[in-house]
Amino acid sequence: MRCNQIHRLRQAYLDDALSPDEERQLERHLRGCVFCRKRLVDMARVINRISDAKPVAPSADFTRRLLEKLGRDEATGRDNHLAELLREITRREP
Amino acid sequence: MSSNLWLNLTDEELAAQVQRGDLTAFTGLVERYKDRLYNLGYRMLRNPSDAEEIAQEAFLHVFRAIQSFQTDQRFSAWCYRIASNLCIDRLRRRPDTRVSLDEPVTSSDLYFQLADTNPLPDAQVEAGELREEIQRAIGALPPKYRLVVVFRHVDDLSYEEIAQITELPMGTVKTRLFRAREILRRSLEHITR
Repeated sequence: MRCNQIHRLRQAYLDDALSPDEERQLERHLRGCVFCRKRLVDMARVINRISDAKPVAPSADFTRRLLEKLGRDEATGRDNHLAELLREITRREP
Repeated sequence: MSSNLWLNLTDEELAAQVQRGDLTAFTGLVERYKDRLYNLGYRMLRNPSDAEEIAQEAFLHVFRAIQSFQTDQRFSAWCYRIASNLCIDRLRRRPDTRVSLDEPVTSSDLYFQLADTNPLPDAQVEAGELREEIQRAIGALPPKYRLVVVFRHVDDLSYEEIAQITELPMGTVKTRLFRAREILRRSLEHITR
């Protein structure tokens, strides 16, 4: 199998998404192909770096501000529930 | 309902409570999803205040549309879909979006976009700078490619989950992901050497 035909297998391998049969095909190709081995390793490095991205956090008062917005939006009808809910949430947050 | 009780309920059960008018159940969903939606916004829009705004907007949409949510579907997919559509809309409206979302993008287009990002020599690439560089490379991807990369590698979602969220055939999800990674590999070649 040629390198350009192996492209999709190489990619899917990185997602652990190959059937045992496909995996064997890929491994057979990789044994004899330095080019594809290097591509695979490079791609794996890039993916690792991306997955390493540190999670970021929204502001501490995210929920309170959201509920305030909702309270303003729902100016009629359910605003009593919302006002009550808001008081409860505001009490809970530091 | 106290927040402890939320722990025993699935997302879909909480959503059903919200549909019945239990507004405190809504805060349960917000608590569960705010970090995920904020991170999605941050990776897509690359700016904390835009991320905060888009996450807030997404929850407002979720709340307003909750009656249309079918509780036999997965809430996570529905909620992510709302947030990712908002991100894509926002990027579409941004004046600095240089690539049309509907045009096929060739890697040479992206090469030009990345060419002015002034890559640092290997020895000077500190961890923080490296991170920034990777984020910049992701940020240079067309939004629809960026989205699948973020879902797959930041949120760790499967092809199938991404297909559910984006309502795309799985083959399209794979094609976008594979192309996006190929572009990233090329643009980050100097760090993998």
